[in-house]
Amino acid sequence: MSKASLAAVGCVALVLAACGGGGRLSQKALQQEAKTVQSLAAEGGILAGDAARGRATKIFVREQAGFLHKAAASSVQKLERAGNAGALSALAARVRDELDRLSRSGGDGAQQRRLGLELTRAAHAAARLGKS
Amino acid sequence: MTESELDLGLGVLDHQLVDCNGRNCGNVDDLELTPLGDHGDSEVTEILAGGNAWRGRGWFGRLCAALSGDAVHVPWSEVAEVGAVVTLKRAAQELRLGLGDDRAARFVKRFPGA
Amino acid sequence: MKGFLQIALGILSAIGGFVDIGDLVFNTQAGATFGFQLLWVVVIGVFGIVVYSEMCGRVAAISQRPVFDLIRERVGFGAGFGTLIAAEVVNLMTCAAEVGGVAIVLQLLGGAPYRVLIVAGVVALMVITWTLPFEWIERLFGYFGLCLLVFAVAVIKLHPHWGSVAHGFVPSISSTNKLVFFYFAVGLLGAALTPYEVYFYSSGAVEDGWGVKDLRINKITSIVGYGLGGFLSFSLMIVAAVVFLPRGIDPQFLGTPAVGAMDAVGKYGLLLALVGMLFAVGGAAIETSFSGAYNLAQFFGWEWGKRRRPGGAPRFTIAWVVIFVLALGIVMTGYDPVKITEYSVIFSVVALPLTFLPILLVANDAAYMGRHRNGRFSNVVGIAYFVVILAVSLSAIPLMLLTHGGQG
Repeated sequence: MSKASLAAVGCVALVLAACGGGGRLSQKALQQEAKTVQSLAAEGGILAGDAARGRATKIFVREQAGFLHKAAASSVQKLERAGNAGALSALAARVRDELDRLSRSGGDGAQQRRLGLELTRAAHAAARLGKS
Repeated sequence: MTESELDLGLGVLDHQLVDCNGRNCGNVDDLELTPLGDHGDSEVTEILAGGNAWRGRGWFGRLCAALSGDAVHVPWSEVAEVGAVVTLKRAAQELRLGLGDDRAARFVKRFPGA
Repeated sequence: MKGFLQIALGILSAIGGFVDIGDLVFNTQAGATFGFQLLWVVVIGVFGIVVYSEMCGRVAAISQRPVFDLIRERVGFGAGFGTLIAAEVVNLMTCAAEVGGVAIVLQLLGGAPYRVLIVAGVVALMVITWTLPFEWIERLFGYFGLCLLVFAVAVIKLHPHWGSVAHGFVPSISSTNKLVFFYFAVGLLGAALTPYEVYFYSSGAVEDGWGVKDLRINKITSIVGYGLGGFLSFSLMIVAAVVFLPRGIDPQFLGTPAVGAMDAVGKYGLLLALVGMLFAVGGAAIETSFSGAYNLAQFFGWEWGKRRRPGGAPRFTIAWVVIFVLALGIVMTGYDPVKITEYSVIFSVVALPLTFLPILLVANDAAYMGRHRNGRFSNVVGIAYFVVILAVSLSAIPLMLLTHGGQG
């Protein structure tokens, strides 16, 4: 292989390493994502709990849970791409799915009550992960 | 400054022009001064409104002037009163002022309720 | 009796019209991040808007000219044109944020697709603006904006620790995360001291035909109206502090403040909050589009005013229509209205000195104001505020960049 070819391969390798390494999230970034997951889960928990008690309109639950779900999905994508998020990534995926179920729960009070408890638990779990 | 004197910079320039019917018809964008004799005195002969009247008003003024047509020249003799606004003796249309609003009105009045 | 009614109606309209999307976003986020610690900043912001709107109203009543009309005269063509450009950019961004906010609240109320609601919302606002007289627009949006008083009810029902709430009114700086604290302080001041508010208020005073006899109404409307309007801002912050902060909720969505009202008051609380938000934000959208049109018309000397039919002030009419259409275009790009709000508030803070210095100069000018020029109190307070405004405007963008928009 000529010197020029070796140099070109070396540059490409460096670029690829930089791109691959840039996907991993720093400790601070992981803590920030944990806070985001906690926030989305906690708000979802309030929304679900109030919906179960008949304190919310179906449309509001559907639309607001929809916004929360979309944000959670974005967080899951970021964590999965990073590859070093471990338990947080799995938790975020659970929160995303529960928010999706909440947005489609309609008037099912029992499901909303259960989702409220699950989401509140997930929020506490995210808070613990954020501190570790 | 005595009662009969007028501060052109603060009291006239950039003031709103209002015609005899109370219609807003531009601003005093510049003033045309004519020298009087050899003592350095000048008198205001014209008000310039709109268009390239802005070319003497700094960089932004030159930019505005470049995007506009000719200024309207209003003889100082058409001024009825100078106060918070500069009131004119005649209607805007007679002095060729406010033509932009006249053109825009033809478009806006096509819509119901205008 | 008639005078009392007029004052009462004006106050109600000012209270309901005080809150816009910037107040909703910044007060809720500040409460969710720092609890009650930033309440004192809202007091400073409200006091500032009271002082400057009183000056604007007085200038309009005595000189029969609104504030922007006088800016070019006082600071010259170049600086005046710079002020105009800055004001128009901020007005447009704010209008876009408000329009986006209207669509989101309509979606939370009715559930239709967001993009459809953006168009429907803008068309509705334009039709209302085109057809209703100025006074009706003020009253409609001001009175329905009063539904936001549900947040005050929510505060009472949440039983906050009143000692801590009272402590929040004592000026102090957070010991943790000082940069983020200052960012929110700047944002809260910017949300309270919005330039479009003073331009609209002074042009509105001329539209309503205020004269010397209305100086008392001006004072009462500014002090009581905006003062009580600030009370709504406190309520938003306290609800967020009690409901969101303990749970680590970061309010990134416009519906989140309504979740707080719902949690405290129930379904009626939710509906009143959403209706109040709709009219507060919708009213602000109209105010910003009008403010932009007033500024252009007054700078170039065009005919202006809602008191004329649209055909009687045609370039003014075209201007506010164009602003709505451009705002629609910005929101249709899909950019989050809450993010647009954060940028518009911060950029309006940067433009604040250009807005408030001419007001202070003109309100002191005996040639315009005669014996109604600023007294010693107005001058001392006005100058003190101007110093604060200058410091805040210089630090706004650095703080936004250093804190990543308040995220830390």
